[in-house]
Amino acid sequence: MSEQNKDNISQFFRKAVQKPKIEFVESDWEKLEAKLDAGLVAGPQKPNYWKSAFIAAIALLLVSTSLLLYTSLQVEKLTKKTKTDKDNVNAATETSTQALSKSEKSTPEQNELNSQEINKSEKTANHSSLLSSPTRKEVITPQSTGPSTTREQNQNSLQNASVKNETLFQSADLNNKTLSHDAGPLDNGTKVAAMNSSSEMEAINPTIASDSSSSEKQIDFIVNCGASLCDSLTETIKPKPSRWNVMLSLSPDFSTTDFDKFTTPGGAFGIAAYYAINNKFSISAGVVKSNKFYWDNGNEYKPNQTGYWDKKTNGIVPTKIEGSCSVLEIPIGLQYYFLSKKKSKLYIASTFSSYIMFNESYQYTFDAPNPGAAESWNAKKTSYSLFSIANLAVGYERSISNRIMIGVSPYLKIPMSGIGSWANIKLYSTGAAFTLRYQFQKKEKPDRLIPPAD
Amino acid sequence: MEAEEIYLKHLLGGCQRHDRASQKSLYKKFYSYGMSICLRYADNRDEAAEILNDGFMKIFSGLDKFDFDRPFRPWLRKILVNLSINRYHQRQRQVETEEITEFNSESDGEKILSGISYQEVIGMLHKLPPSYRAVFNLHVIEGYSHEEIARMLNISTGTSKSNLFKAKEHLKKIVGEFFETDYVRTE
Repeated sequence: MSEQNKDNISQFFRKAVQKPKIEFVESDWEKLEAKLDAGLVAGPQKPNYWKSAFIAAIALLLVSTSLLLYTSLQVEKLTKKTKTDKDNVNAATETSTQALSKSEKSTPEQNELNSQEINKSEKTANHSSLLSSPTRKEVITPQSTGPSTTREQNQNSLQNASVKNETLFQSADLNNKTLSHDAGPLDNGTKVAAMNSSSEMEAINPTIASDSSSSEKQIDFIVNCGASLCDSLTETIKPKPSRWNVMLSLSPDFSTTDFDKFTTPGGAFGIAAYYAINNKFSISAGVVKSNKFYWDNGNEYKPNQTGYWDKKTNGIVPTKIEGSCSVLEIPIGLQYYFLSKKKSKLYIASTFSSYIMFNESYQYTFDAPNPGAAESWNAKKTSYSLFSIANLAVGYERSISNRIMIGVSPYLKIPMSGIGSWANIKLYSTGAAFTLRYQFQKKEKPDRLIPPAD
Repeated sequence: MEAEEIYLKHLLGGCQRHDRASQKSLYKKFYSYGMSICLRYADNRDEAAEILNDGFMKIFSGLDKFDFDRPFRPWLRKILVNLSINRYHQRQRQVETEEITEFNSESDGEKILSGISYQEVIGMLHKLPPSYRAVFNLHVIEGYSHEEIARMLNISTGTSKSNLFKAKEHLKKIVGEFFETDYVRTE
């Protein structure tokens, strides 16, 4: 059989199958309809774990941000109130101290006069206590022992004072009254401050009550307190965080030349060093290695070589081109912590990256058979691109120890210019990086606030 | 022609909205074309109908990704050829130990088709062993190169060429038996 016969065979079959006439069979449609009704989809679909991880990371970031903002608002509110109340209490303490010093200086005659005044004011206080709301009594909680701050106990202490030392207790009573008057209606948050102030007073009052010549003891007490405070400060100083820290990151990387054409995500792994300029700003530099997969319609790619399609694919532009590459990214940027709590931080970051692109590859798909056409293009050399990608990121971090923070940081990489050696493609990338930050610590000797006693 | 394109887009839009009437119309419209592809690869009509239905399931579920400005027919063709190749692989795994000659007893042109000329052609193709038939279809009818076929069927380029040669030799005999001896030559 000759070669010509073989060609004739091919031509015969090609011609024969060109215009088939196959009649529609209703039962075939019924089978398909049954499948459609059952909601079956041809072929098992692969679960996209990266996509799930990306969504989970975004959700985690949103939840943690909301929680952090909510708690910070609550704490701020509480701190504000506490501060106001503390100021009031401090004012009250000052008044009492002044009264105390006055009473110490006063003569017995003056003391008698004062006693009368106090009795008057005591009566007034009793009247006002009847008028005042019960919450006021609850606010300044008395200790089980020692001088009290409630009105009833104030009365008792006043009576006792008249027996022992009228002068001192007059001042003590004045102190308490000023406190209860100035403090005003307090809520739970202010209890702490009020308690503190009352405990301070408790510390002072016994000294006052025990002896009229207690000023020396008071001085001793203050000196002792100062010394113990100093010791506690010098002994428990923790190592200070250094300005340097390093961060590892791992993320799915969704790359695309057009935002409705995502495909299987690649992966990105990076390491970066950070230097804190101050509490809010850090500068960073690092390296990120990533694999990128992307696709687009053939006519969206403009090969650098002129007349490429004519030469390589018989003048037919592929319907679809799937690209892949490995990229070594060198980002340099700035990070700003806009919300910092004891354990959590929120930041935004902006970097500019230089690209080193290698293993660049493009696979062509044609609508119809295109015999003799090139099927792909693979880069033989590495291409470079300086500061061609801008990266915007927002991140949430949480301390798991003094030195280690974990976090999540969604990002968007925007091309500033085309990259790649085959066609200048503008490649966008997005994803959510899971981060692990290591904070270096300074090794410093603690400064002593007060020089040790000789 | 333009009206046909508009009608096709209308049908595809309906299919995208999961409108059953549009789905049926599209299926009917491309039934003959789709079956003609599937029958060339499948062992029998039922298998061809299964491949066709799987193809339409893929189309109905993947219309969101389809660019309506692009021709629909090549997309359908590609899906059906790919599904046919997948079937071929499955079949190869199942009948690996069986004799190739068994195929001849399975062919029954009369039951497969209602279109006469196509029925005869498919009948002849079905007398080929599956491995020869697949290569013949892909190379002669679809226009794939031996390198492409080798990748698709997981065989070497040499095997693809060899199978094509043997397929043509077989078909020569089959055609010769079916028609007069010099029919092909006079064509």
